Amino acid sequence: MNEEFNLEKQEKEMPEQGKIVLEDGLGYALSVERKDLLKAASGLKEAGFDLFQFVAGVDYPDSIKLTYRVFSSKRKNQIAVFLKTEVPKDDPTVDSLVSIWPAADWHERETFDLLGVDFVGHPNMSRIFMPGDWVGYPLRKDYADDRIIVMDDGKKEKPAAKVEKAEAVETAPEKVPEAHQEQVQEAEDAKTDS
Amino acid sequence: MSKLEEIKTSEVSLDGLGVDISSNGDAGESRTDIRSEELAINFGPQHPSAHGVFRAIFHVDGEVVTKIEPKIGYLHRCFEKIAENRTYTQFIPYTDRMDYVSSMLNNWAYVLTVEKLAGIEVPERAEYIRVIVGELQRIASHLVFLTTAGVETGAVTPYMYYFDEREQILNLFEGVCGARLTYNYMRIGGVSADLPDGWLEDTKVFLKRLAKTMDETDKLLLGNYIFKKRMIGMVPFTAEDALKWGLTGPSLRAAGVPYDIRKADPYSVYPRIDFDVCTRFNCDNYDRASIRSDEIRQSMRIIEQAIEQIPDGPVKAEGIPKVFKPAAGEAYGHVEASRGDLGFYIVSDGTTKPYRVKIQGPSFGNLQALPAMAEGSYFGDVILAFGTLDTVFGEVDR
Amino acid sequence: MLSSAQLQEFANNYGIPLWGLDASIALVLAVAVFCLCGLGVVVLVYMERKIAADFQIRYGPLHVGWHGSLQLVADILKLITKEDVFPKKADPWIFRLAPAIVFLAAFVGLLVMPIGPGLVVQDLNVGLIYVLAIPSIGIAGLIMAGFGSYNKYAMMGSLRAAAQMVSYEIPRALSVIGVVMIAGSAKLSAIVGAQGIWHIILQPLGFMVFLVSTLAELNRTPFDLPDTEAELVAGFSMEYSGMRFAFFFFGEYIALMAASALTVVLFLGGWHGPGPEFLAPVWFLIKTFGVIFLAMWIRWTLPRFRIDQVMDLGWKVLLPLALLNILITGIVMLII
Repeated sequence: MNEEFNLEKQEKEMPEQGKIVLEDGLGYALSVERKDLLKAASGLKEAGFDLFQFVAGVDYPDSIKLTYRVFSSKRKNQIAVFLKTEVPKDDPTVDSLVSIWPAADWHERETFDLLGVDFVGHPNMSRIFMPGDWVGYPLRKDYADDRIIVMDDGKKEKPAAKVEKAEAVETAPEKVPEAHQEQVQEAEDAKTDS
Repeated sequence: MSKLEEIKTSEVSLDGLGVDISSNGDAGESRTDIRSEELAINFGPQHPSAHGVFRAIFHVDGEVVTKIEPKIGYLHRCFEKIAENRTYTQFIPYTDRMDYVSSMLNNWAYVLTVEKLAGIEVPERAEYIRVIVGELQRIASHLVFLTTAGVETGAVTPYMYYFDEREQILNLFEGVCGARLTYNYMRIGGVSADLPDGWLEDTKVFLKRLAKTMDETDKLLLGNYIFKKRMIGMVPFTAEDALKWGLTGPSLRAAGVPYDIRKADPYSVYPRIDFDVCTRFNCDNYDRASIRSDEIRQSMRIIEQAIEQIPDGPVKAEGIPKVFKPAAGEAYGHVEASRGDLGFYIVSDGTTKPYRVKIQGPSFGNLQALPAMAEGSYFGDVILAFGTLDTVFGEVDR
Repeated sequence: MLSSAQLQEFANNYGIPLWGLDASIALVLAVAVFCLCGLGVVVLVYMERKIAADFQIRYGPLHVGWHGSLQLVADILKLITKEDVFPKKADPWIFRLAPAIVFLAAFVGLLVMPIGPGLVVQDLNVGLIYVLAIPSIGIAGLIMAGFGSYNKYAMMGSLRAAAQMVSYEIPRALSVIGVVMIAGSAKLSAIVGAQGIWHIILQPLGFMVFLVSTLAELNRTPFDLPDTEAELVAGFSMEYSGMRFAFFFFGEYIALMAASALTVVLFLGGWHGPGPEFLAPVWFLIKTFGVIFLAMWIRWTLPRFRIDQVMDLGWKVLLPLALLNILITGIVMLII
């Protein structure tokens, strides 16, 4: 187990779990079907990947892609693997990995809270950041909230609603307290003096 | 024998510091005969030791805490959603507000990932500047940790000595970027401005001063008899448990796992710099506290070498517009932040704004180990265990 | 108290009963001591702030009065004008009475302190027993504060305080028995009178035990478990604000003053010192402030113990040492 981990070895050690590939920008990645997730995860655990780091959900129009990162402290070259799976939008459930890595507990709750992915077999599947009675999953692309402020990138045309708002701010009469006006006056005087 | 040599020599036997954990660490076992009715105490979010807005329900039996139920989310701002509505450059200031005790390293982790995503090369001088300010930030953050560890044991005087040193670091940071807490110094492709004249000399002077203070305060706090008696052997955690519950950073290294991203997954110019990964053995309160002191010394070594090696040249890659479109794809980048493995996982869809930004905050991972770690300990030790995990709630809740 | 024939004559002339005169003189003296106490607290608070500041490379109070010397006055004004917050579910009488009891228990200890030859409000025959026993009533005040506040943190704080103070009463009382054996009296002025050689030299072990358990009695670092900020926020005084809190605060300082004075009386030669006799109170004050400075020094340097370690120290270390001290003193006195 203390040996280095590389792509040739993994086929010998984990023949059933699918093929780990080297992805650009990420490193080692293993993509599996939703039903194979638990099997793949336990295979990774047996292969020495003992530190669970996070699970990230990405909301696409018809599915939510989950990316787990697990790290091996036992391998000599200290390597991490991204475990990827996909769940359909109409049935966002997936097996929980808490039984394999207890550290997955809060991370899975976070993903449930913000993306609405239900992890089957999790001991306490409840919201972790948002209040318990919150409606909706904020990180979904169709989540609507008036308080979300979309900043423009300076290149595109400004959205119509934004323009109205901005104008409203500009046309509002600017109230400067008298004391401040004096200060401003003084500052200007000082400028002209010098 | 210096601290470093001590660590090296004692690496041979993993039995470690010769601390008998069983005798005094496990408070629950020896006192089962005098159990009484449990009391549920609400801890936080406005408790002096809550380190921000931590809330937990402590079930205490006399002085022994039998169950901890953490409740988080009081500082949740959903930065991940905000990031989706900002351009890549516009999101940098938000990273300052995550782990507000070590903003530089947050900046760094984010811009590192974006550079990876967009395939941007960073000039060498900028890399060295990043290493120097990053390590200074780590020192500042660990100094804050040591102050709080001291205050939680009732030693309020070392507080000022550590904060005096941190103040010098903040002055240095004010010199490079004008801000003292939320720096917004890193840019995609470099840093916002070159170092001012004489800044490196000032840093050298500061390092000399810091070395002296660290020796002094080590005697005052970490070497204090009462402090040791309070901390050594209390609330220990095995390496296996630490990995199981997802600890990273100094807390994991205190358990003896030499996982440091600067060595495990080298970034920037760290491969050219000679330093050691500090480890300890028991991951008890004292190990988690004293490893920070060791790391400050390693950071000082790194800064000294970086100052020697820093070349002249530009500090920002040329031709990077404020708004740009990286190719569709995904990237993961992480740095060794002062609390552990701080990672960003960014998915791009080819537009000017990221499609998804996942922030992997080390405090979040570390905090969830608290119940497993501290249940069955004395109330006072649980507070210390929480303190020595060094969580910052801007990062837990994000 | 009435030793002077002139006073007796005065009483006879004006038809005042002797006990009445006695009582009114005692009252006047008590009020005088009370005022001195107030002054002492002002000095102590200023001293503590400045010492703490000096230890921590900062300035301390600087703006109110000369070098911040009137800071406490400003603080008291603030406390007086503060809203009197009364927890809804608190027990009204217990909650109100607690600060008064803590304050009085600390104060009455000072009434028997001989600060110079003959300079004492009431020189009791059993002065030492009185001075060890009466301030312990303060424990009741602390328990009342914790119980009456209807607050879990306050309750835990007061239970800690009670456990700690009861534990340390015993070694503290036992540690002074050696002094009584040498002096042959429990009268405080007699104990001071017997100190041709200071008792700290004759009784080093007793002094150590007494000093440590005194610090524990005063709830000061490293034994400030009842109000550990890190765990119990403010301990038993959690729900108190305004003047009620100020009484706890003053009680703490007066107790510190009384305990330091007692240390001087028992071990550091009381009013003895070089120079003419009228300097006796000055010497007494200098020594008392020396002990107070020591307590502050310890407070601003050391971390605090954990509750079980405090108990261990009291029962397993200090108590046997105090008994051993009595044994050694007895044997030595038998031989000599």
